Amino acid sequence: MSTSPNKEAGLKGLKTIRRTLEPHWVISSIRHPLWNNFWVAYERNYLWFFQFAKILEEATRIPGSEQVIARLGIPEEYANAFSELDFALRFDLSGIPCRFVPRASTPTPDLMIEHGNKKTLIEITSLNSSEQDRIELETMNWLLYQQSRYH
Amino acid sequence: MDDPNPSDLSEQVRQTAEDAFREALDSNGLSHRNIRGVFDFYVAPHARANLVPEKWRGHFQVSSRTPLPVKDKLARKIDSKTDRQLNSDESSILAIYDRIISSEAFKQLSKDHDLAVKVATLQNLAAVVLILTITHPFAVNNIEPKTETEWDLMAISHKLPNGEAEEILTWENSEEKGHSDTIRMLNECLTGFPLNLARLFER
Repeated sequence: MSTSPNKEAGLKGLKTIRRTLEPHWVISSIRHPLWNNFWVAYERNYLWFFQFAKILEEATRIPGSEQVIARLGIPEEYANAFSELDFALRFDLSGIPCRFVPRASTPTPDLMIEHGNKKTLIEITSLNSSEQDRIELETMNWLLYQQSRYH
Repeated sequence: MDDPNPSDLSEQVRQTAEDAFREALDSNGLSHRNIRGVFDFYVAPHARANLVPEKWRGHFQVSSRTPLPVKDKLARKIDSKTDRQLNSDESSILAIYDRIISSEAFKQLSKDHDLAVKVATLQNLAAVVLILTITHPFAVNNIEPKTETEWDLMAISHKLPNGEAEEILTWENSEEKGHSDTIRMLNECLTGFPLNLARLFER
C-alpha cells in the first residue's frame, strides 16, 4: 500500500512543471528558489508538485502570461514573477478578466483588469532586498575570498 | 545624473582590487587604490603587513546606511511606482509583496495613518495592498483568520490551502475619488482567495 496518497497526482504535476518551466530554466550562480522542492521525493513535495502545477496551468490561461512564466525559470527573477502570477490569480479565480501588460522600453504596469466598463492598471512589486543590496553583498564576499586566497 | 549601475560599480571594484593584489605581489610592497566615494583599499603581502597604515591593518569595513523604517520604504515605493508605472489617469492598484516584515512592524503599520494620507494624495490610485506571505508552519498555525476595516484601511489575515498564510493591509483611497467599485472588487478577490485556491486544487 502506498504511504504517499498524493504520489501519483504529484508525479503528474511534476511533469507539468517540467514541461512549463524547463524551456526557460536558467543555470545561474544563484540557486533557484525552487531547487529545494525538486530533489527529495516525499509526501509533502508530492502535494506541492500537484498544487504548483495547478497554479501554473491556471496561470497559462491568463493572456500575456508567457512572458511572466518565462521569468519563473530565472533564479533572480523568480520571486517577482511569481508575485505577479499570484496577484493575477486572485482576479482570475474570482472571474474578473485580467491580462498581463507586455513589457516595453518605458516602464509599464504589470497587469490590467476589466470590471464592468472600467479598466484598472496594477503594478506588482516587492519590498524585499534590492538587486543593489545583493550586488553589494556579492562584491564584499568576493573581496573577502580574494584576501583569503592571497593570505 | 543617474546613480552608477550597481553591476558596473561592482565590476570596477573587482578590477581595481585585482590590480592592487597583482601590484602588491609583483612589487612585494604596499599597493593602494581608491575609487572616489566608494572604495579605499590597501593591500600588501602578509610578510610586509607593517607597510599598511596601522589603523587599516587587518581591517575590513563596509559603510552602511541606516535601514529605513518599513513605513518609509512603503512611501518611497508608492512614490516611485506612481511616478513611473502608474502615472496615467486610469484607476490603478499597487500591490507590494514582502516576506520579511516582522509581525510587530506589520501591526504598527496598521495603526499608522501616514500611508493612508499618502494614498489620498494620489487621485488615480484606488488602493495600495501590502501582502506579507507567511511560510513557517509555527507562524502559519498562529494566524487567526480576520477581516477588519478601519478608516480607509482593511486588514485581512487568513490561511491558504497550500499550507501558507498571509496578512494583508489595504490602504483604500476615499470613496469620493470614484474608486468604490474597484475597491469592492479588490477586497472580494483578496478575501475570497483561500476558497478560490482550494477550489482550483479540487478541480
